[in-house]
Amino acid sequence: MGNVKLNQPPDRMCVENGNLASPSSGNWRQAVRLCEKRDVERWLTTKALKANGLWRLGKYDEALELCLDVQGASPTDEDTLAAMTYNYRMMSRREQVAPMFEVAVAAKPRDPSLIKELFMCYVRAKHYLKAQQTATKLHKVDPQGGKFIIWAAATMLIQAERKDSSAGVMTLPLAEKMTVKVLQENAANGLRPVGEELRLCLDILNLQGKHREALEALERFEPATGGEASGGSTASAADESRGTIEDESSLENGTIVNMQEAERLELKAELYEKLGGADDLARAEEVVQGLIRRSPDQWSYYVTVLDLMDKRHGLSEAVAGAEAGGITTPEWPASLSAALELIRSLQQEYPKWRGPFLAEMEVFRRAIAWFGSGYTPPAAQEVGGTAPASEPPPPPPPTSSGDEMQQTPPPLVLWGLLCRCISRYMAVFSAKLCCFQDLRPHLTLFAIGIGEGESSGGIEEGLVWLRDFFRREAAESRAEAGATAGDAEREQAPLDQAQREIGVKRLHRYICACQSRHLLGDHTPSKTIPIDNGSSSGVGVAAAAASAGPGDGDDGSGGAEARYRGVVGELTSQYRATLHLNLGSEGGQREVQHGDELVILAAQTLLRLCELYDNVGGGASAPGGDADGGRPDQAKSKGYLGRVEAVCLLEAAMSCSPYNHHLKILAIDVYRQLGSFARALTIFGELDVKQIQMDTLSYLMLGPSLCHGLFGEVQGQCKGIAAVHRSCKNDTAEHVATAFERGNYSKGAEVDRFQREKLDVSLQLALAKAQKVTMDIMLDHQTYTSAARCLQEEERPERGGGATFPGDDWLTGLKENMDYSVQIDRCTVVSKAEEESVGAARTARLQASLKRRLLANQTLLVALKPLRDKGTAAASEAVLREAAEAMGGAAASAKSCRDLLASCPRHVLTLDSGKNGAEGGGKVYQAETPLRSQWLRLVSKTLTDGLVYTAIVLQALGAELPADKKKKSGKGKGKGKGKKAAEPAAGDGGGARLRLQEALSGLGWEVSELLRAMSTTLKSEVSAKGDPARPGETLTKLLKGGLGAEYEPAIGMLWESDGVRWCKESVVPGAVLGVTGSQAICCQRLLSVVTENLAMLQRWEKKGG
Amino acid sequence: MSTTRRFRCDDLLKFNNVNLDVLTETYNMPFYLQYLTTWPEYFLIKESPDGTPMGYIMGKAEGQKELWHGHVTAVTVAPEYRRLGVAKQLMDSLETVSENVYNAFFVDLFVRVSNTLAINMYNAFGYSVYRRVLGYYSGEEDAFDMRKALPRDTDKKSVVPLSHPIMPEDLEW
Repeated sequence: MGNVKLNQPPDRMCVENGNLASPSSGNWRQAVRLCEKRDVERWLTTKALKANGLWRLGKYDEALELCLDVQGASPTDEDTLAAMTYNYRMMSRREQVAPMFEVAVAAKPRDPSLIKELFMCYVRAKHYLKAQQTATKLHKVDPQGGKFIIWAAATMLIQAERKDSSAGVMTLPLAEKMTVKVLQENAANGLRPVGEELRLCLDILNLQGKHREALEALERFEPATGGEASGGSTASAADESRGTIEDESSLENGTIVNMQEAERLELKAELYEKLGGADDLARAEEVVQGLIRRSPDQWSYYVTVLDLMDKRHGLSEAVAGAEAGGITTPEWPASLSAALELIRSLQQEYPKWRGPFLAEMEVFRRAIAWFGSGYTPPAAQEVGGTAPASEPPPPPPPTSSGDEMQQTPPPLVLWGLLCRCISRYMAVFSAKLCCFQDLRPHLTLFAIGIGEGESSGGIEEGLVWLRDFFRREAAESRAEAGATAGDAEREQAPLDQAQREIGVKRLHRYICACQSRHLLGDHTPSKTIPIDNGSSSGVGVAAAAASAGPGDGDDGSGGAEARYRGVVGELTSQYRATLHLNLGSEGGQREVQHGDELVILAAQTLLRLCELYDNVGGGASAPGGDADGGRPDQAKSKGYLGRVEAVCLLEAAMSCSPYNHHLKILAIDVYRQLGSFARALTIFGELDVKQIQMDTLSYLMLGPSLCHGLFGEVQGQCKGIAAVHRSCKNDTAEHVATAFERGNYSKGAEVDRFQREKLDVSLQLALAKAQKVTMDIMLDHQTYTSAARCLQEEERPERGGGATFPGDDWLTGLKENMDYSVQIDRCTVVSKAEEESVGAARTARLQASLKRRLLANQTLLVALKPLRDKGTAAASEAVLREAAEAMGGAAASAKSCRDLLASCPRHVLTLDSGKNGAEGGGKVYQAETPLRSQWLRLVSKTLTDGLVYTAIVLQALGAELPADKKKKSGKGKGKGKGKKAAEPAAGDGGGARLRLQEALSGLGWEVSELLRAMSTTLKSEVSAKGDPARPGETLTKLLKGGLGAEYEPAIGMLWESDGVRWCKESVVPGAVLGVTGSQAICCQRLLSVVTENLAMLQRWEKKGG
Repeated sequence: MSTTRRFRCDDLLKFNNVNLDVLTETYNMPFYLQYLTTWPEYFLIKESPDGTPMGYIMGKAEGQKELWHGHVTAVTVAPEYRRLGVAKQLMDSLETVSENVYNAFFVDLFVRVSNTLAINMYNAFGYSVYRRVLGYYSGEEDAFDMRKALPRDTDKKSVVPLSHPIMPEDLEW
């Protein structure tokens, strides 16, 4: 019976025990019957198994009762305990497991496996102090070479890390003594040191600041070199138990894996660095240089060596001092030259590895910070010298115009040396897609300069030199002119492998050059440069500029807009010209396609241009103060069109490259800007965000879903986020125990830390929970009780509740786990400091919004309670305000009112429309007019914005639809995927309404519902007030204007994602790319109609409000 | 150029650049945690100089006696970092751990029979097809069980191909 593992489900145990029939067949009913047989029925094990069967059959109460019954009998045998453990986990009553084992251990105090299980229970429950005591008890019963002493020490370390109040000052010194003793005894017995035990010892020492002792321990317990440990046939009994790993069975009692040499050296260097004396730093440097020689491609080693050098020679310190008017600039240390020498020799030895080449750049980049960019390092000729003779890459083949474009090499000062490195790196690695990303930090240095002060001297020259360099690189690597024309020919004569490779390399070099030009501000002007005043028809200018080619944009002919357009034209034409290089899916691979980066660059350029348009009329940045009144609208229209163009580009690229998530993420963002949620949602679905990604990536869609009124989606996602976190919490607890079992203590501590420092304090989780409460309250008042319960949970003391709910400590302790790195931005130059401050501001913003949300939730619940309880029309905004004030604090009143009103009470509206769902509180809400109208005003803006965008996209695409497709889609519309399609508005027919419904079917059911209700409400309100402006009609007109009859067939196409299919079908990107002049005019006309309607609506609102 | 280091829990929050690739599955937490806490030497990540995850490898050691081996559970590289030898370096590391730390006889892995590019890559790394597993991928596609012998298997017995395909239920692990 003793061979049953506790983590095995009882159904397997049944088979193993052979006493019972196997319930693994799923026949739980039969299993329960078997458990009821007379001779076995009274056994505790049988009862525990029966409880399992009952639970599976859905007889929860009976099952639980039986479990409590078994527990009451204080079982001590492993089988019963295992089955009970399993049962309690299944019933989500994990907290009941430990008490059960406590009783068992009390009954059998010398049973090591029971005590061990109790230890694991405590670890899972995070009762580390109790775990520690249990481990000590275990050691007394079963010494096992001090293994359980190590367990105790490891739990003490975790307590210290957690700052558990019970973990006093004495904990760590005691843990230290215990660990060292075990290590010593084992060493004396000739046992190989276990890496994890040694690591634990170092962690305990380091946490006390005893780095010297840690270093000593590391050296003292150094593994025996040579064949000693492997023992051979004469190995002692001890050696056999912890000798060489023979197979799986050698590891049954936990790890005996020794520390690997590289890891040991890394730890050694780290400890020397922590000690920090000059000698120590020199030692550390020596160790790391040795590591570099062993693994010349390990970037972290180079970083460490340079950090050490900085510290040892006080370089950064001296710079800071010099700036403060103190000490003079530091001197170039000899060891830096030595390091360079090593790096250069490694470059020769490993000419294909990026490591040594990047390391040299890193040296110069740092040196610029230390010595100034114009500094000439000692023996500059040597340092900067010409490329070594053995350098593999041949210089790029000169183009016809190559001779005139010869660039003079930069001077042998630091910035010049860095430029030389960059150019050499391009020569060697430009065919790799990551080349730009590798160069980015160095290019950024030139792009942002180094700030004020003398040290920036030369940076500007460097920028000029680099711009020139990359311009030449781009020109040399462009696909040949007229490539687009030759598409048909090319298809007939497919490329051979070699040609393709050359083409791809060339393309990658071009991409890298373009990305670099972007970053260096050579492609597009900075955001502050206004767009050209004279361009009345942007598109026309675009066409002209597109033919001008890249690098010519600065001749002042087209101004900013033309220049942006020129860049986009050039990038897209190069994209088209190189499409034939792609292989598509081959050999089961799903690669991203070679030219995708060009589309990303083009789309981002367009988006930048759109931002410029957006700012027109926004005040300060408007170009030409005397612009006439229509000008801002025109610019706005161009902004929409630019986004449409960007999204078309991305769609076209996605159809050629369906597995590139960068394209998808960018497209989601543009669709969000356009107010197109259905398609954005589909693309987000393709990303297949799940599991832990719910925490890191759902921000991509959560925000947009909310502002687009996809409340069901929001609710679902919030639920998903909370669910992932809930299961993670169990999983991490479980695996801290696994780590102990396997002897991987450092990982146990790490998993515990991960849960505590990342998952528990996830801002996304807190936001999702709060959002979900809002949604629950708003969307379904039946869930009032559950929402209230949720909120109460939030108020628990550990959540910072109480008088100052939500507690500021709790709020500011929340951290963003969102992974923003997936949103690549090739254009923006950001310094590290800027990035950090932007990040901090964003976090603060999210925290503040969480706070408002929580307050709003609470206010709302208080306000809704009387409504619910009384079921009368007593509630009003006054009630709400009262409640808010009762909450205390000004923040909780007006602001939270607004917040909660903005949270879209769908049921208020549905009930209000009076057609269905008039159960219970329907009348209550109907009478509550002020609340509703205030809310309506708040959402109407978002909504109408979305519709305006929608209309413009439709126009832009619709005008290009082939005639036959129009018909086809006209018939097919309305069928669509239709998952969220709106139900037809009962009793309110008419063409306009129908069209509206069609259009809205893609917007998500909630929004269409919302609009319908909005329209009804406006009508009724107006008729009550007798307003002559007849806003109901205005609204219809607005929508009708946006979705004009002539474009009716296009509606279904785009918004039931057929428009997207159209993009895919006519995949010749050329057809999708340009928005023609006539379309632009159409859109502008449309826009004026819509704006007019909007203005009318606003006027009415002013009157009516 | 990159940093190879042990995978840490925190990397689970940052590995999206790799995992958004369609062929890279995002598993549930226990899967990652099991590997992290059981075979930490076998779970390695490579980062580019700017900290972007380039790819990672997950592996384990299993088997009795002469079947004691290292297993590649997953190896994946983000699209923009392909063709740099990242996968090769990761595989090398896993083989080193299998050989030096775990003293295994061989390393094995499973691959879809249709994934010719990957199969060619593994061939180039010294792996050969040991046997075919019918319907290994949800009954829809067969897998090749590929192996590479380590020095402990002096006679290279572990890589002598099996003449007949096997069913997934016949797998030892």
